[in-house]
Amino acid sequence: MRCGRALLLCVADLRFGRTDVTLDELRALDRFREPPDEGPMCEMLWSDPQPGLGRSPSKRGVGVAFGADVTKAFLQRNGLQLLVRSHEVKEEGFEVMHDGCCVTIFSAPNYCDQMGCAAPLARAGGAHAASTTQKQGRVYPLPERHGASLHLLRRGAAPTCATDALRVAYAEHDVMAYTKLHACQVFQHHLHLRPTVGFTTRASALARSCLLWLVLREARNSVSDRSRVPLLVSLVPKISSSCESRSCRP
Amino acid sequence: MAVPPSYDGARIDEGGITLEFVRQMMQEFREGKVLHRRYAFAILLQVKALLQQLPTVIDVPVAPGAHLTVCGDVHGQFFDLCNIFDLNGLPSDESPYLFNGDFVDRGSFSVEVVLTLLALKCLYPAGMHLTRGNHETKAMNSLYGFEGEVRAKYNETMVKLFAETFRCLPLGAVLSNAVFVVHGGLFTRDGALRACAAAVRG
Repeated sequence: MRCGRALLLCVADLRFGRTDVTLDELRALDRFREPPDEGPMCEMLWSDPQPGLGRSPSKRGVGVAFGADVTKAFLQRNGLQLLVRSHEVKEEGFEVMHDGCCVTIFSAPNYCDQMGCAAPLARAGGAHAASTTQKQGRVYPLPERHGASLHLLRRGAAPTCATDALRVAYAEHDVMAYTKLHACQVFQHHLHLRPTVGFTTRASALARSCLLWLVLREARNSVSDRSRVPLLVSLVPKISSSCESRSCRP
Repeated sequence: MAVPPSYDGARIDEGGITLEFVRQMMQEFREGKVLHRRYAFAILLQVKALLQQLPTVIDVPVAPGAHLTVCGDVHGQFFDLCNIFDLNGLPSDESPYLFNGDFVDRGSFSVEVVLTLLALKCLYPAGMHLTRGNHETKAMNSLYGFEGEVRAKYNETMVKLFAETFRCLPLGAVLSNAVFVVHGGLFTRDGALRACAAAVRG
């Protein structure tokens, strides 16, 4: 009886042709709000592409991981050719997935104060000035049909402390030396945890990286109140060592 | 909001936001100066009114032979943003940009990044396009640093005004009816499977 009811519902859904979200539906969204925990508005901000086909639960716990078939179906249904999105750190600054239909662009090469990544820009449009862009970096053409290319800047600017005050604070207390590496490692760790990693491990990794960033943030905002900096600095090795002793690698 | 006589930074006068103002503001950001709250407030009010008029998914035509530059997450890395503009030029109506969300949080100079982007949006409404990322939200800003940074550099009112402004950002863009630009990605099928599951559970 239950199976019968389920089957009927499936058929009804197919008959009404509801298969996927369309551009028109997105245009009609009421966006003047904080995004909800699910639904199209949330997924526009949170989803990630995945190498396999179909859909899987997102490693972030919000949004969805979508495969090449989902991308192609969405593009075709809406008369589009290419999906450009951001949201994920890429070592080269960009990644082309889903048979050239999905491009990820990340433009903060000094993210987490790491250096040396490339800062890509996607140039969409007709013939771009290849001669000038090549002088500045490398150009990766995308498949011809898109009329777009990826223009890869050589690398980001060196991480800079904006003020002498900050520089002095960092030098005196060595905040950056303590925190930079550990914060990056832990943070990257939690970003790269495989989907198979259990909830507890994921939650503790997330909690630790949040804690480290809170400390970093407090140190940064305490430049005018130097008395707080030593306290904050003393916290960092404690958090870091707790990360090392309980490695969160899967 | 009176500006103290000691303030020697960039100012917005009756002429509104000009290219000279943006250039001076960016130079002062590089030197670690803070834009006076009065002018930060003015940028936010102006850009909020502008963003409110936009549709949820913006259509951006790119003429044949012309180009548009799409940038991904910047995450408060003001010096990376400067590097992009140094190498690729400042946005303008002739050289349009689209910044695809996540301007703030994590980096130490989120206020500088977002004020620069928003001021450029005021200056070139048709040459600067912004879409919302998952970090242009209150939940993320309170966890990943932007709220604290705004409180440290400005005050609670500005925290609220930034949140209100972020709520007006469009969620996606379609370039020349061909390229869909969105911060995260695509969608869960919301039909058959879930209806089946509900029916089976019922």
